Amino acid sequence: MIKKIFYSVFCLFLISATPVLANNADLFTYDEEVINAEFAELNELENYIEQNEGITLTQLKLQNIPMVKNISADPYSPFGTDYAFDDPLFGIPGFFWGCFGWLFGVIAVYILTDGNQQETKMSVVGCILTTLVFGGGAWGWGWF
Amino acid sequence: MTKLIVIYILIIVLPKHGFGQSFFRVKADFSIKSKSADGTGSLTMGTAYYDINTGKIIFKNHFPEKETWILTDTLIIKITNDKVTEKKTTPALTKMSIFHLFLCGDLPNYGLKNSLYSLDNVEKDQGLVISTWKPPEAFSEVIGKILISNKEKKLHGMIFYNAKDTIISKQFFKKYQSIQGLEFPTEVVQILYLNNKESYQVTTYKNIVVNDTNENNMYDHPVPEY
Repeated sequence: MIKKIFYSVFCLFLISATPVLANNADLFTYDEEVINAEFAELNELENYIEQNEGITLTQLKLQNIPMVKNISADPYSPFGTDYAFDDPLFGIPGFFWGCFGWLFGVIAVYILTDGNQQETKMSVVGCILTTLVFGGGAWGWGWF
Repeated sequence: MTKLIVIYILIIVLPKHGFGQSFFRVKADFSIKSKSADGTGSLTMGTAYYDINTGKIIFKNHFPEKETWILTDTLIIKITNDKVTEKKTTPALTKMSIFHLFLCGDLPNYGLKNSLYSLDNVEKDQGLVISTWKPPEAFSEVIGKILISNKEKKLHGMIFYNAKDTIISKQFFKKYQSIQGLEFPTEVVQILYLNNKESYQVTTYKNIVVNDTNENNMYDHPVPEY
């Protein structure tokens, strides 16, 4: 009888413990082998460039080196991110409308640009970033 | 009396000159490798310079092409063959860069401690200290929470959520190198989740130099006329 009770309690413990096992620490993992496999070719290219200092992608493509077959000529660049923009409203980028006008700036950008998603998005980013970095004092011109 | 003078000097002078060292510059060779979900790869290599006083990050790239990027608090400028070939407006990303956070000693919490994100929860699990940071209530419908894990007081990983509580990105900070008492992660692995597909980016740093007093022209790179 005692064994049965112990067994039942143990099973209950296991069942109740299951959700705890799937906790936040498990989220901070990734498959390193997948990453290593994905980057094997790029690592090889990186080593090649280090050994041939000064060589550019254009030169490698001209030499028809197989290593650069799947390499994009348009690499990572901050110019291609959502955080770089041009074509501003009244010459003032949406980001600054959000920065200084806070929610009113965001609304103004949305209305005056006929709902231009990029500009409105940047004004939201400006609004958020300013608030995050400078706190409440950033609203308006308080931090100048 | 001599002893008293020595003790006085130790108390007054040492904290200022011995422990009060400030860090204002960092330089590192970098490589950014990325692999998109469609299998296309890209590689960018060069040297990065950051000076906390000028607030500029200079990327002097030698691959894929020889060009220089200057990131200021409002602009990103591309220079090719000593001419500005691209110029765009940007928010103050330099303050959120790994270089700035490293020099300020804010890397363990990725600067969130001094932001309007608020600490919601802290837990210890499997050798990690995991803190949950939530955005201000006013922005909770636009941006999501951020989880930060620390291992041995160093930033280990970050998980970014969208407002719908779905993971959009993970970052892992690895292979720390101690430079003048500061810890710099020489490898950053980023996984982006978009449309149920994963893309990867690995950034590596080496030859890290702190408070370099040479190459002043690089740390305060002039911006040519556009």
